Amino acid sequence: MNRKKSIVVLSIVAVIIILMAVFAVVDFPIAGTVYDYNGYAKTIKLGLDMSGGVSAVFEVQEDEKGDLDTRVDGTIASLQSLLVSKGYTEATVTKGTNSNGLTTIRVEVPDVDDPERVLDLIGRPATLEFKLEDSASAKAYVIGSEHLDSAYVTTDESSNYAVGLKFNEAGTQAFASFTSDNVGKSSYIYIDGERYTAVTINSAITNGQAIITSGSDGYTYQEAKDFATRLQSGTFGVQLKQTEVRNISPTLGENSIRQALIAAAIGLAIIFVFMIVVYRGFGLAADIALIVYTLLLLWFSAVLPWVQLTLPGIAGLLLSIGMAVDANVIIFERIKDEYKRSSKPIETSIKIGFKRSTAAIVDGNVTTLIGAVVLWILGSASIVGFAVTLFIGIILSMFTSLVITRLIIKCFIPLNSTSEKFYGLKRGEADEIADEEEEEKPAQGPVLESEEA
Amino acid sequence: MAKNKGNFLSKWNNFSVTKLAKFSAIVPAVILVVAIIVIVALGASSGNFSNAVGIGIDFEGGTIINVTLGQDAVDNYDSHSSAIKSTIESFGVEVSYVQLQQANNAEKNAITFRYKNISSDDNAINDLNEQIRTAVDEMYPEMPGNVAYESIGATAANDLLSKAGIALAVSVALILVYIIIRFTLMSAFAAIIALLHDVVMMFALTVICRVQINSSYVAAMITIIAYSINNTIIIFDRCREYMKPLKGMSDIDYCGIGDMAVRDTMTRSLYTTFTTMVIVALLAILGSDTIREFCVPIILGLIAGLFSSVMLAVPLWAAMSKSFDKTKAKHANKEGVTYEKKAADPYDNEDHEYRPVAETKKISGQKAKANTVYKYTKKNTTFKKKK
Repeated sequence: MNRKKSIVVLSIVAVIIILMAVFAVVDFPIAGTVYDYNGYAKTIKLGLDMSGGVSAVFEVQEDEKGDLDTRVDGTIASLQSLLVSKGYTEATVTKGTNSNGLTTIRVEVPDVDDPERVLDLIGRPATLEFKLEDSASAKAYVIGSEHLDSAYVTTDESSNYAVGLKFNEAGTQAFASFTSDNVGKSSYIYIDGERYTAVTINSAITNGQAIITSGSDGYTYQEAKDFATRLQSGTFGVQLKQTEVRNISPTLGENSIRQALIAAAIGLAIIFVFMIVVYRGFGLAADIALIVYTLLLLWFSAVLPWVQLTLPGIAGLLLSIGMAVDANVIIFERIKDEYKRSSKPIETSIKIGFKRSTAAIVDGNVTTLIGAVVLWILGSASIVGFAVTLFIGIILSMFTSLVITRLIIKCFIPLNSTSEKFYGLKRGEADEIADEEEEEKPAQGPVLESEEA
Repeated sequence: MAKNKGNFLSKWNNFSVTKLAKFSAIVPAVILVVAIIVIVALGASSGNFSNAVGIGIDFEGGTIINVTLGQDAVDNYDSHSSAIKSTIESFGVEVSYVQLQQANNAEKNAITFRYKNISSDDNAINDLNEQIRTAVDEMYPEMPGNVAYESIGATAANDLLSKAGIALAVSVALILVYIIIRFTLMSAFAAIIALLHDVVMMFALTVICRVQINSSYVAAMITIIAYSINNTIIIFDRCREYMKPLKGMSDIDYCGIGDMAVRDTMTRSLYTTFTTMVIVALLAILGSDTIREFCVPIILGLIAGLFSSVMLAVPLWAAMSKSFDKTKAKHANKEGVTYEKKAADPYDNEDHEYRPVAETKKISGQKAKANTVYKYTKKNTTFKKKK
């Protein structure tokens, strides 16, 4: 690389950094459209502790089926997976007992302002029944809460939106016998105890799948989606009655978030100064790489759906910055060592330093990466967000230290290739250089002090 | 170490973690014993072991008190919340979360307080809750009946811990395999033992410092595990490098190699712990109680991680490699073999030549062990310029 080229590269890096930083925070309307651009740092989803959300309490209706506790637990699990499937990995579903002694289920969803939205999310549970007679009191052959596994949006043969039903094992059998026994007859679908539609059974359906269409026009996408969600919630083992829905404030409070941001800013500043003081020019390169790292991390946190930042998430991010510094420290220590122990020029020392520290950095990060991936696959919902953050953090820290830092240092060399002062490098003292000639010396000093003197 | 001069340098070059191993093993043992004493003593005196350990409301559930204050809940949130909080805490419970709840109807705005029950007996819990309710109610005589309580279950999903446990076990196994492939069997064992040490120590220290264990703790623990294994690997990377030319030899001075690796990576170990610690420590100092609850375990874990990587992993590796070699030698009946092999050049085509000298055995047999270490570094890994 020559002088000109390195100035160009450095300028490009600077421009990219400035652009990324600006786009992180600014908002502006996008010309020619009704949409606004929102700074990506602001669109990072926040957890309950950081941003509050909505809390809804449902009373579990006592019924005659017995074993209520197990069914409540099942319902809680279904609610949780329903929320996770919609990207709310940090939502909590809690069992409780209210002052009337009734079992309650408390659902808290972060990052939502409108209480109604929670009900959209978990649906207003609908009961689904297949009957042979057009009467609310008639026998139900297939029941949503017992037989339905899931409901989803699909399309029918004329490409209209429809709601697909997938029955569980018992449901598949029940539906198979229901349809095979009654080929040619009319069946009635009851939703919440009211007739929803009547269909003619054309043939036996044994694969446990069915589609509900709406007349000739079909549903709109939104209708189909809402209906599917309601049916899905209807698979819950218990009947829920909503008792309160409220906005809740962050458990951390505005103050704590501000304090955390101040702490992070001071901490970062200390790290930046520390790197420059200890490693001079290298430190400067590392700081630039760290800024790139931080901005990339923010961007990924904003665009990846699993990331919903909570306090642990934030601290995880900050910690990963510490780990990103680590890779740089390893490289620079190695370069210092190389330079000290030899008479190589600075450029060669840098090359060898990078080469020899790569194995250590890769091995160290891969072990951490293994842990993150395993957590991602096996962890529960709230851990997944954390695992994803950790995963991005590790990949980015390897990328920035091995690629960006190196690129910037490469750019420094044509500008200044000899200044020990700028790079904070020093040749070994006479005795350390002597190390290398040690073998020649006849007396292998058993006592260290003799050498020191 | 470039910057250590004079007297310090001489001490530094004699710094041997393998010789300190006996002392370093005592530290975690003491901490563990203290933690067990704390748990047993507190648990036995209160009859509630989960409290003694410090299991928080996220895992245990507790009580939620709802104080309806209308618009005033929003307007004077800070003064109301701190006054009610201190009333509740005067009953000996610890409020974990305070939240403002806003309803569509402003009259129903409320502040909620969550705390973990300190007893495990239902009647005692109800009595206490009733007392707290009455006490808080009396604070607002103009609004009778504005306080209600509810019991709540654990917010942390039931499977959080079990899944985290399984994930930990699987990742330990996979990391073990990776280290065996990239390093040696003994490095893998030593690294995993160091990792388990960190988990246990972080937990023990958390108990001793009486920090509540909530769902964020799981995240803190995972962070520390990741961090510490990374630390250990960096040191083992040096060991691997110094071992390269000695491949296939017997009676290798593992302790000397290990000590040298630790010394050479010490600057990096300290710097990295510093840069990582600085933000977390600032958060703990400037942040609120909840933030501190998360940061203190991380700080404790960072210290435990640094300690295990530097002081424990290498001596373990040295001791285990040594005994492994012995067993192997016995089996192969090869005890007499010494250094006939010429070592491979460790740095392919670089400027160095690496010359092991066939005297390690004799030296290591001598009395002064301190010198063995030193001699190893000076003599057997001498770098010599070709020109």
